[in-house]
Amino acid sequence: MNGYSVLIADASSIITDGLKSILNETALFSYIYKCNTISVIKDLLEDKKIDVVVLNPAMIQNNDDLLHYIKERDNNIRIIAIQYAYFDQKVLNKFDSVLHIDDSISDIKSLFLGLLIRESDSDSEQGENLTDREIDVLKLLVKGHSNKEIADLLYISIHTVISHRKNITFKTGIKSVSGLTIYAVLKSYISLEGFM
Amino acid sequence: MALSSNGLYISANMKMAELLMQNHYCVLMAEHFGIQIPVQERTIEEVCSTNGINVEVFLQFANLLSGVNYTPVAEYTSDDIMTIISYLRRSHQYYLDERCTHIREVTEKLSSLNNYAEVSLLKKFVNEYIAEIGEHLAYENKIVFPYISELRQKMMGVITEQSITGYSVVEYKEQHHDIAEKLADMRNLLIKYLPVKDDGKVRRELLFTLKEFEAELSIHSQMEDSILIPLVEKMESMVKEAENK
Repeated sequence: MNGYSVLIADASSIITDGLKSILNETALFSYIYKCNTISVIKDLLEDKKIDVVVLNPAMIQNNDDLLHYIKERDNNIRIIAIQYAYFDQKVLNKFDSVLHIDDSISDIKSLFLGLLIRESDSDSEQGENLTDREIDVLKLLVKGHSNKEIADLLYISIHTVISHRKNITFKTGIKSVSGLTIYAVLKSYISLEGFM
Repeated sequence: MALSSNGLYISANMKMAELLMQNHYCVLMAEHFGIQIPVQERTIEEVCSTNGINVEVFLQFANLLSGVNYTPVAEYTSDDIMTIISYLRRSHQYYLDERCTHIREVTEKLSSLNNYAEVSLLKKFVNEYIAEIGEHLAYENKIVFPYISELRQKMMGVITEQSITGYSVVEYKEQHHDIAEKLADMRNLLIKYLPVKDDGKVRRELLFTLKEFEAELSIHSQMEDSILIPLVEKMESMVKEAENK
């Protein structure tokens, strides 16, 4: 289960579809999402685990709301600009990397490869790291909430909760809530008060 | 999952000593059957005969442990049923008096050597688990086994009324969940995540004893699933048949 997910967001479907087609060829991503509006970006980020977001700089040109939103969901998400119009360097600096409309296919592939390899290096330093979403689910689970309650509290579906729980068990090797509680304390996801 | 699934087919004229040497867990199994060691050169058949055990029943258990498909005993006598219940009661005693006590002691030792919060949490987890095991075994001792005894007495025609009304093996099957799962979680925590300050010997002792318990419970569950539950189902249908006559 090591596949990465990418979200391509641009008002133009020519851009989103074209880039998706190129990224498909790299075989780097298990899931490639695309959308044309900011509200759909937010919906997708709520529900899916996304590693890289490709954005048109126009979406953050006038305010940083979207950037903050993405970083809050998951601080590790890489944000790439897709540029085919003039933008101030200040705006472009807010991105981790910039893709140009006239970049060659091999340039584009190298850019993403470089991003993801760096990421997996830091993964192996840290170990089995759970994603932010998985941590959210874990915290609620060890507090005693049911799957349904967790789904309601996080505004996700029960199916997603169960999926996160399976991932948590898969990554840690721990099945029971009691065991996961100790794990959560060891990783400082929760404090000890209330458990002793 | 047998502890030592060498696939060796155990037969009545095999020497008991050979079985006990080949499959170490059978030493414990023999103890639960009430068999005394040393056994000298005697065959399984001879040893069982001396101890009043139906050799077919013993072979069924031994082959289950060996990972071999053994034809279940066709017709359990009322004595056979007593043998099986005694076996299970003795194994419960062993788990509580010896295995759980050992686990509790080693955990206590670990906790006293590593006086910090996460180890205390582990201790709490261990103690809660042991209490859970105690409840599970008490349930079997107090409800399931007397129920089986009652069925046996009805089969023998000794009694006609049922005092444990409404109970059936279906209920028992529903209770039968994975009680060994938490043991694997404990070992996982100890191996992957829980830091300990001591030189690791106590932790290793705990890991060993947890693993042994996990294996023992797994076999115990298997015996209940493949021997006890079918036996009770058969007894229930025989009693029902007799009642409907």
